[in-house]
Amino acid sequence: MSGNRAGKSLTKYKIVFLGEQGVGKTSLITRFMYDTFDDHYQATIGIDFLSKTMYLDDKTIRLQLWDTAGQERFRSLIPSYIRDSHVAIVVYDVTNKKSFEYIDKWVEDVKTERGEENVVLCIVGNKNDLSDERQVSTEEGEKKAEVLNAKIFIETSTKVGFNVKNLFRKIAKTLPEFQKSGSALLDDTSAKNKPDVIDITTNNEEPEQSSCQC
Amino acid sequence: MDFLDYQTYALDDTTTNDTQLPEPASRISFQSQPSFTEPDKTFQLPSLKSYNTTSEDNATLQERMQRYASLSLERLSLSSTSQYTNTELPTNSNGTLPRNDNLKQLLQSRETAANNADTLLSKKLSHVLDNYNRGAALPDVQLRNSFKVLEDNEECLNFKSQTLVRPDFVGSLARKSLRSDLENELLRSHLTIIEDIKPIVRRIKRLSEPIKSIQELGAGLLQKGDLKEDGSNLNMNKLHDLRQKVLQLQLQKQLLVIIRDKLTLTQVEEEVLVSAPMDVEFFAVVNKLMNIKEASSYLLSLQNPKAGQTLLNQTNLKIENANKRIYNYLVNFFYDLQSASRTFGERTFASDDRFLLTFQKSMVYLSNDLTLFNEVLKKIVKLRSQRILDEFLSQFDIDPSLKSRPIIMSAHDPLRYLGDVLAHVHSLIVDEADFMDSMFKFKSLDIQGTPKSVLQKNSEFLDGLGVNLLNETFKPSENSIRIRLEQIIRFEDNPVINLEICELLKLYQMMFIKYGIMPTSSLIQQLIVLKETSKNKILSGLIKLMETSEPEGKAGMELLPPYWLSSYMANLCDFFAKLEKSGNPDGPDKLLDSNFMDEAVSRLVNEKLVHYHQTRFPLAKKNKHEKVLLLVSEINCLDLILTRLSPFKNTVLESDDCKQVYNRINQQLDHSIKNLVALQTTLSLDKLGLGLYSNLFNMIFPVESVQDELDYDMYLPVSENPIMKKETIASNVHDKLNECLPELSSDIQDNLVFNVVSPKIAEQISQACLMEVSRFYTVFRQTLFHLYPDFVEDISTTLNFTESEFNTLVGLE
Repeated sequence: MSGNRAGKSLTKYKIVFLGEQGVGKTSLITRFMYDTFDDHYQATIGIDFLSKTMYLDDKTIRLQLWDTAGQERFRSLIPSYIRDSHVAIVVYDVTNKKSFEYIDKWVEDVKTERGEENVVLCIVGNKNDLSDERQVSTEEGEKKAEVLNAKIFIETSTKVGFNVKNLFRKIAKTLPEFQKSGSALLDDTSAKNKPDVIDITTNNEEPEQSSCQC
Repeated sequence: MDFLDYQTYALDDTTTNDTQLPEPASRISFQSQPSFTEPDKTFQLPSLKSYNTTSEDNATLQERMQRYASLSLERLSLSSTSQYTNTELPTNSNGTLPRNDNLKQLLQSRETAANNADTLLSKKLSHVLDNYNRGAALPDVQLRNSFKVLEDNEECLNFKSQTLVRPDFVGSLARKSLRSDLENELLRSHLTIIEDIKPIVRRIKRLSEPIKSIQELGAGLLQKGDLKEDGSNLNMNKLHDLRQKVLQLQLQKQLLVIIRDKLTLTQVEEEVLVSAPMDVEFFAVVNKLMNIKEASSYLLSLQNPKAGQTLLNQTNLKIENANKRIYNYLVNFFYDLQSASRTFGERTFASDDRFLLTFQKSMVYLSNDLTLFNEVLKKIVKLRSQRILDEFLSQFDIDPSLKSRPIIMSAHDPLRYLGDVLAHVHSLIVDEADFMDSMFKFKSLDIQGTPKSVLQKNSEFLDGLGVNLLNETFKPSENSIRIRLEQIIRFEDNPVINLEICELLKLYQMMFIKYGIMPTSSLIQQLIVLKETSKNKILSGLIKLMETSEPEGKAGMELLPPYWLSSYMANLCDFFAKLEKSGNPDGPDKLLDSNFMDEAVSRLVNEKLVHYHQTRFPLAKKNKHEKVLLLVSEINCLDLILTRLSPFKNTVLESDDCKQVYNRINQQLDHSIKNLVALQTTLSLDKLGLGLYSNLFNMIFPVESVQDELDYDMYLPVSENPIMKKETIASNVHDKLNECLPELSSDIQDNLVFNVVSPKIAEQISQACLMEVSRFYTVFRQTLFHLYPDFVEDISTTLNFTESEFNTLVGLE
């Protein structure tokens, strides 16, 4: 039992997921939200929405995750969602060079809508576990992120759950709400006990076997 | 045999016999305990008058124990000092200690008693041994039994048989201490029993006085032997009646108390109802009121329903007041929340927040009063919808302080404007759905113990409240949303953009429904209306495009398809391409139905093109050359239409309606080609001087139907016609044939290649035309051979080309 009659303060942050079809945007969200992975591919229709509350010390923030469809016919919808988003996560598939090349176009869209400063730009190389099929090296990804002035670059694997929580932890640290409180970490104990709260502080628990990024 | 005390051999045992052997003297004074032989006579209840229960309650355990011990010792000394003044240990004939002995005495006489007991035990054992030596079996059996008893109760008496039989010092010590150990055990168990009996004794003592008085009364009554029988009966009946009356009154009282408890509120509860804060206590009182209301309905079934009515009225009044309090609480709660949201930004509650749970519980309770409940809902909807409307409109304000770009209408990108508006509404819907879900989730609410009739049933209905409120909340904003969408849709004529708008509205309709907006809600209905508008505008846009296309003037005899037609077809095909890309053209919102195809394509062919050609070639009916031009233009236009539509034949135009239209145009094209072939054939035959003869022959029997030589006989009657004279034929045909035939093929082909866009159709027409000419030439020549078998040479001179030569010259072979 907590809170007062007018509730607790809640800041909402819009995070929009961008990228080509099949790079794993929905999987990334599913892994973060429910810690599951579905092998069966199902294309997103239109724009999907999911939200999650995160607790940080005495602060509560709500992440609104907007999952966009990668299909060409839904492209016209996406700028309207980038327009008022705080974070843009551009996802590419490390086993698909083309999806990597299209990052520029997505970042351009983000910058057109939000400018350079008003958005936290993240570049995520997904499917990191498929090392045999890799077409884009980590160095290439890092270099691209640097060129595009992305604040965060990370390689993930939604299949094995590698670096997913870490990504959101990094994003959280860049948000104004978290920066105000210095380098405060998420309150582990309180977060773990809440039913609809994600604990993003367990980066050490990431499976080590998938750290091979060669 | 360490335990044998040989001193006992010195004792004189002649006075004792086997049956009167002294048993080992117990250190327990059994006389300190009440005798159980005649409990009702010898038992004396301890006086509890001196017990101060209040002080006893306050005393510590230590003090209580001490006091108890001293009391016990005091009582023991009081009761038994008079009996045992001598130092001799009192033993009865069985060797047991006197039962009325007390602990004090026991303690005082412990040493002496122990000595005496030792003496007795030694005596006993010596006697046993003596008897054993003399071969007496009975004491041995008794001894065995004694040890067996000890062994059976080994655990209780802490009897260590193994240690006892050990030959060493430990065994000796155990044997020596055996008796004292056993006595101690017995003493301990007796003390425990005494402790257990003590409270029972106290209770019995308390009852002793009333029992005594009852006994006295009974005895007094029995002594009154002089009472007359009748009088006694009368009194007894009266007593019985009175007794019955007392019982009735008691029952009445009991009933009234129950009724009072069940059907009325206590003063405390009344106070809670009026002024206590909204919490568990308050809801408990409301629960009670609900139960009273339910119970009062039973009273209405009585003969005099006045009590029920009064109770019901009173309860209703109280419930009404309670509901008013809940209503005020809910309204204040929401106002507080709203004002805090305005001042400090968005608010949230944890799912187990006390205030949230109270709010939800209040909602459940207020649902009994539909008027107030609806009032609260109205207020909530008003507050939330105002917030949503403000938020929606704020996106159109150009405020530089806002980090996000405002939604601006752009003439060159109307879709983006619509997309922005709809995306923002989408975002508002998911936000609101999130809020409603957190505030109005009643499933987890514990409402057990609430009156079943109303509250628990209501909670089922309340589960869908969040969704209902979400829909209600968006109602006031619908008009603003619609206006902003409509201002684009109403003025957009481009069919492709209208199709995209249609698709966009369809997609958002699906997404809005996904996040809680009901398909029957007016927001969705508005979207459907707008979607229908833009869908209709696709066709009207195309028709407008068709109608506004002005046919070019007559300048130049260009036979290529006109620009307006190309432009229209380009738009139409763009639309089809977009539709093809959009995925599902055959869904429930099927755009390409028979009406669409009739209006957008058939009308073009049957009205617009016909009108165009009539205007362009007014003399086509009279002038064969102009007719050829008209047909060529017609073929070109139809070919263009079919060529542009053909990529979609198996996709968006796959339906029967569309195929029908496509096939009709194809037939029209074939018809035009056939007409052109016929016309071109006539013109060619005229050019060769065979035109008249072709007409004549065809009037008798169609040339194209001629199969073999016998068919030539059909044409025998033509010999009567003056134009069929050899000389006439020679003058009409020979020169022209020789002059024009070599160039006939190139003439036809050149004409068509220049004018007919499709080389395939041009080739088809040219071939068909030359074949017709060739066929007639063959039939005509053979018929003449039949008519004039004697003048074969003359005919061969006039029609100097054999069939083979003819075909070679026109390029058919």
